[in-house]
Amino acid sequence: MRARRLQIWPPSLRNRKNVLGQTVHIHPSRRPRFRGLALAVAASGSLLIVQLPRLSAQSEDGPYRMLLTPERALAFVQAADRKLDYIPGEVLVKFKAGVGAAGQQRALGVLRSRPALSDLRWIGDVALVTDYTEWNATILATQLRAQPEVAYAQPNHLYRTNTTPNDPGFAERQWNFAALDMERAWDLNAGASDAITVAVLDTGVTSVSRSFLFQTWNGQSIQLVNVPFARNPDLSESRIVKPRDMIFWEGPVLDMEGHGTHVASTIGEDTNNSLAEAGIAYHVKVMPVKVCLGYWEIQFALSASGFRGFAPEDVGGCGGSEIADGIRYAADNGAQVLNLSLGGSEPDDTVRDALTYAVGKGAFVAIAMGNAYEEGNPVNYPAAYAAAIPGVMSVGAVGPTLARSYYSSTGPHIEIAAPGGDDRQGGGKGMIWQTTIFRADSRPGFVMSPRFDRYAEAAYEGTSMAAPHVAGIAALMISHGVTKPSAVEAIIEKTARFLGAPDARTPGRNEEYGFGLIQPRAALHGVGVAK
Amino acid sequence: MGMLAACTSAAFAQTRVRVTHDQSSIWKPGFSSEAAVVPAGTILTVVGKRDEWYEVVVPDEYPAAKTTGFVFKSNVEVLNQNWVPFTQASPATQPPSSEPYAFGPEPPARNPRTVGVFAFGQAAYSRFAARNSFEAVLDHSGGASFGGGAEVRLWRKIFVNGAVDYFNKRGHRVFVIDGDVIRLGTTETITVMPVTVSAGWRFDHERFSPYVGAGAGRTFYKEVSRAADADENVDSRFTSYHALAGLEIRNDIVATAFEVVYSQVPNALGHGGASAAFGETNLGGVAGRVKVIFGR
Repeated sequence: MRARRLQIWPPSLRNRKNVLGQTVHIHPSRRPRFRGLALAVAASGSLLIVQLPRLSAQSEDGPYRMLLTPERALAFVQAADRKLDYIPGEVLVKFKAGVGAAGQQRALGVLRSRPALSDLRWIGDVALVTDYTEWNATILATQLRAQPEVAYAQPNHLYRTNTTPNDPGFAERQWNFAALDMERAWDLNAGASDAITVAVLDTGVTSVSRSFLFQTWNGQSIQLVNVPFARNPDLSESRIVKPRDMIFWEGPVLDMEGHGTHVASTIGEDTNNSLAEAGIAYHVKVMPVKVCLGYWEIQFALSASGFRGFAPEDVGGCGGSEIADGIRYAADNGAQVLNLSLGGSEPDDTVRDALTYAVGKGAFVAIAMGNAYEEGNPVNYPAAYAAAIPGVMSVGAVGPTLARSYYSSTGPHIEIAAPGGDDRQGGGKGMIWQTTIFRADSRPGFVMSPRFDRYAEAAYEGTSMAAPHVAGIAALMISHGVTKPSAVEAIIEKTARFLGAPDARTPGRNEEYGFGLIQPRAALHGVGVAK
Repeated sequence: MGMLAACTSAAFAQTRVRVTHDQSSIWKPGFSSEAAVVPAGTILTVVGKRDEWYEVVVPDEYPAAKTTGFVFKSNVEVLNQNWVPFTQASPATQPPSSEPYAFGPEPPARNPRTVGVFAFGQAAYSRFAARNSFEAVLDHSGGASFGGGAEVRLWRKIFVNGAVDYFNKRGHRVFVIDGDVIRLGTTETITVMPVTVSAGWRFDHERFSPYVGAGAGRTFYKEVSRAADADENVDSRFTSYHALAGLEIRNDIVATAFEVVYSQVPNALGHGGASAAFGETNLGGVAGRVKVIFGR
């Protein structure tokens, strides 16, 4: 494998003012020193205004344009620092019907940066407006909402993958499949078929086996490192279709976090091949749609732009705009099932509209319910939209005893439960084991030069792990003849095994488990005339 | 033939017919010319029959007396009926292409016959009362069935029969969601086997005999799906009731009957599956049958 060099285009910097009116001087002949810049961020509470260099990576196919701009990488850093649930300086705007370009431009004129229409990125009929002169996106949204041309405006919310990774070591593994009686479900439909495509909107599933050169901070200097990537050996290359990176770059999809790969493995890791674990729908095509960033993507982007230092270890997340864009991309490119193992505490009309769009295109969507039960149990989005959209299901988690996992969020919008793991119910054995990248190779804070070419069986827990069970079973059902998303949902609900205490207000369901534990065998077996 | 008639008339009653239409022709064998033209009320002795014609002896008062000729069946009425199968035919009296019948006495034990035993095979098209349920699973609300049985007739008027039918068809398991049927890739084979006993009344005529009846029985019902466990399949039996009406067309030893049966198998369905979704409880239905009956 030949290494690909990440190339830095000559910086084109100019002096700009930040939100406090301070002029930031960037010498055009020098690479910007971002240590001071980061300090300034902390001191001023605002994102500094700099025109940072565009990044690209070199390959035989030509340079890959970076989607993750330095400004945006910094915005993610600031979101992590400030514990924000949105991406600073970004707002999603929907103009009222019939408002023309002039009207739209007039509305945008209310913002300090006066963005041009040509700067907008459109997701369906919603525009992503960036104004890094104002980090507080709620202010931007408020300003825009006040304009008569605007139907709605909201911060571009930041969602996070709903997983609590853990590496407890080997043990008895896939209790989750036994709990669902998957073997008898496979008697009826063995792993779906390659006519079914499941899109995994997540941190990605690596679609190539090759190395890339990225710059990163080693504690003393920014150095160029050769970062090897490899496809999951337990997910055949032929089963990966139409991979798309919405958030990092225009190159191949690379998972630098492991979450997306773990989720995809539950959905359809190669099975009956004497290797690693089994997946549920092990014949389907997997469409990796990268909408989430982990530590390393942001670290690479920052280092490439000259940032001297480490990004916060908990930096990362999934942009609402990319999620919405990814949902539409998946639906437009033939995915019949979408898995969203992510969520956040803020509603997002753009994502909701995209979900409705996807269902309209015939796609079923499984969404993680959220992992914040012990953090006040806030309503989690986009899971909270599921109850109102037939064909979209919010999925809570159970552990090996089939009791609700301690972290699994509850609420009236939960629709179904599936194994998500719970180490309190069984330690490491009680988590969900699947193949993913070997996390020790890339653990932030321990590794300076990561690698993503080795895979291992790893234990994760979370509603992130529960959702792909439902997505995989939905793929089996679609392959078995249930083609309408609303019918997939109705059958899953109808055949679920009720768990927990009955709720008099909502017969047949409750706020802990929804309709109960998903039952793939029953959902595939259907009924005859009499039984 | 005339000699045979003479021989037999001495010992047994002969079949006689009365002419009902004036100027009825008695045709010579070969139908080339009339042997006689007789008025209504003329009594003729029958010596044989051929399709729609009776072979009769020309009365004494006509020039062709003592010879035989053919009179059209519609022009006469039968006064007594003692047909027996032909046993000994005279070339002189046998019409060139007539059926091998001869007149003569019926054996005393069978005339009048009090008990007849018959066997029959039948093919049917059944349409189930649980139309929506069967249409969901089988794509059709019914299908063909085959069966057979035996029948006893008393005085040719009363019948009692027992029959078994066998319906077997493969479809797919389904889900019914808000009335919409979603067919799955799991095959399902349905077997319905009604075992019935019927009794009824025949309006006996020589050739066309309508009949009506009713009865009861047991219906054996099976649903077997691919890769199913025993407890996921159905193997049940239910009591059934039915009424029937038909028309038998006799052609000597073989008869064909067309029959319509309405059956009820109450509370057999509706406890689960598609029938529960559609609220259908009756496993009966309507069947149209063709029966082939052997025996006399």
